[in-house]
Amino acid sequence: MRVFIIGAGTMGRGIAEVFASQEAHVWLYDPYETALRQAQALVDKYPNHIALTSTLPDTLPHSVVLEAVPEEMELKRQVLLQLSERIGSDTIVTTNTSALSVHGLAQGLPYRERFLGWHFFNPAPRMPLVEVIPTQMTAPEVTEQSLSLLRSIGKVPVIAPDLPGFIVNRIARPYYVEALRLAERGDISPKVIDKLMEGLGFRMGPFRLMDLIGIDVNHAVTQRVWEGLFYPIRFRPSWLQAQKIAAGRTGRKVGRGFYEYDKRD
Amino acid sequence: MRTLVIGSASRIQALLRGVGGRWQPDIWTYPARVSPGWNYYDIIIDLEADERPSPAFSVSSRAFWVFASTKKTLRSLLPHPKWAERCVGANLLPGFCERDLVEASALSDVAWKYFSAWEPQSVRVPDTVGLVSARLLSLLLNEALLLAGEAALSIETLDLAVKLGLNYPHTLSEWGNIIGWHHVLDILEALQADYSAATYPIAPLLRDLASHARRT
Repeated sequence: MRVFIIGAGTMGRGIAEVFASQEAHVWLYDPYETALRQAQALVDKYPNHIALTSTLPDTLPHSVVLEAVPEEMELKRQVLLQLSERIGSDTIVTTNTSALSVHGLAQGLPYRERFLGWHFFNPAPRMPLVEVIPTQMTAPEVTEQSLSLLRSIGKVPVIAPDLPGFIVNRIARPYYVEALRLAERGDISPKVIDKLMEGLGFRMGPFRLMDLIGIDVNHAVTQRVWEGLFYPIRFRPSWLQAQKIAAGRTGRKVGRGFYEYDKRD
Repeated sequence: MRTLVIGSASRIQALLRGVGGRWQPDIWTYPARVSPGWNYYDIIIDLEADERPSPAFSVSSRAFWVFASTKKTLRSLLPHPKWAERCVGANLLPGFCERDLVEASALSDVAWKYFSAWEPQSVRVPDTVGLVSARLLSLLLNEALLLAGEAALSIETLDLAVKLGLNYPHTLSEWGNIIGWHHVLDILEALQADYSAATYPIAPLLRDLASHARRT
């Protein structure tokens, strides 16, 4: 199997490793040299299965072309439009998105019957679930091929509706939003809430998890789900999160969020 | 400390499997008619105070009371503010009382001091419907069931998503069985009563599952 991945960020690299570890041949493209430098370790690990490139080839006769660029609608649409003249006649094109509308991304694509969403979870090599999000324009056989292909590389695909947050990010929202709502009252600390939820068997309480994900990233997903569902009160984004973002305390990646971190963490 | 637990047999069993095991309490099971001798006890734990009228207010007792208070706030349970000094509200629902800690609220520092001296693994939380963990978990389960209804998704698909995509300790079905869907619904209904149906909409599927759970 030949797979072309666009975007060598955390998700692109993780997905490349998933395919390479299953003997697929993977091309990982990113126009930014810094991103490719970070991906070099993967080439060292799978020298016969991963190649890096900073140039988008004129032809992409691959089985799968997967876009994993940052979660911005316009950026993703530009990338997907660039593929129109390059892909083969039976190439499946997928977008790795956690919350953007797949129908919105598909609009205007000449290959939309071969286009659908695949949502991998971070870290992609370890998380088995992949949400498969077909649009109304996706050919049924492309959805079926996607499911078999993902099973063949050891993943557990589930078909998810193209609704804001799909399945996983939608279900998880109250875990964050309601915890924030309680913390906003001021009479209970994030640390206590985390302790109670971790006592139930959750690996991380909501605040520790938001720090890991990135408070800004988590806030943006909530914002998208809230807007996409036409502003239900229960998903109203939190002012406490907005204040953290304004203060630059976006979580573990900067050493400060709801908790303080040693830089070595 | 002489401790008595009152409640239905299934609730008492759940408590004794968890944190109640270390309290070594005497037991008074509904619908027993014989008085347990209320004045003999130092601490009485009413596992269903938020579901039916507690005997606490009709018996003359010197005891300190621990009321179940996930479906009603502690404040709303008390007939008189003077009671605040001799009781706390706690999450003693199945699925929560198995933890090594007790999540509880108090309306008075005197009451909290007494309770936390007796149960050092207690964590004080605000007196709100569902307290903290039952509130978060009930809303999470309800959201999954709302989505199931909106997108015709099966519980099996949602179970996979929760377990493999979120790494949660249990699937929805497992949680429903452990806690009891009817308890989840009761908490959602209490939240609706405290806020509004728009703030906390209830999944029709949750009502079905709760109704089935109550029948069985």
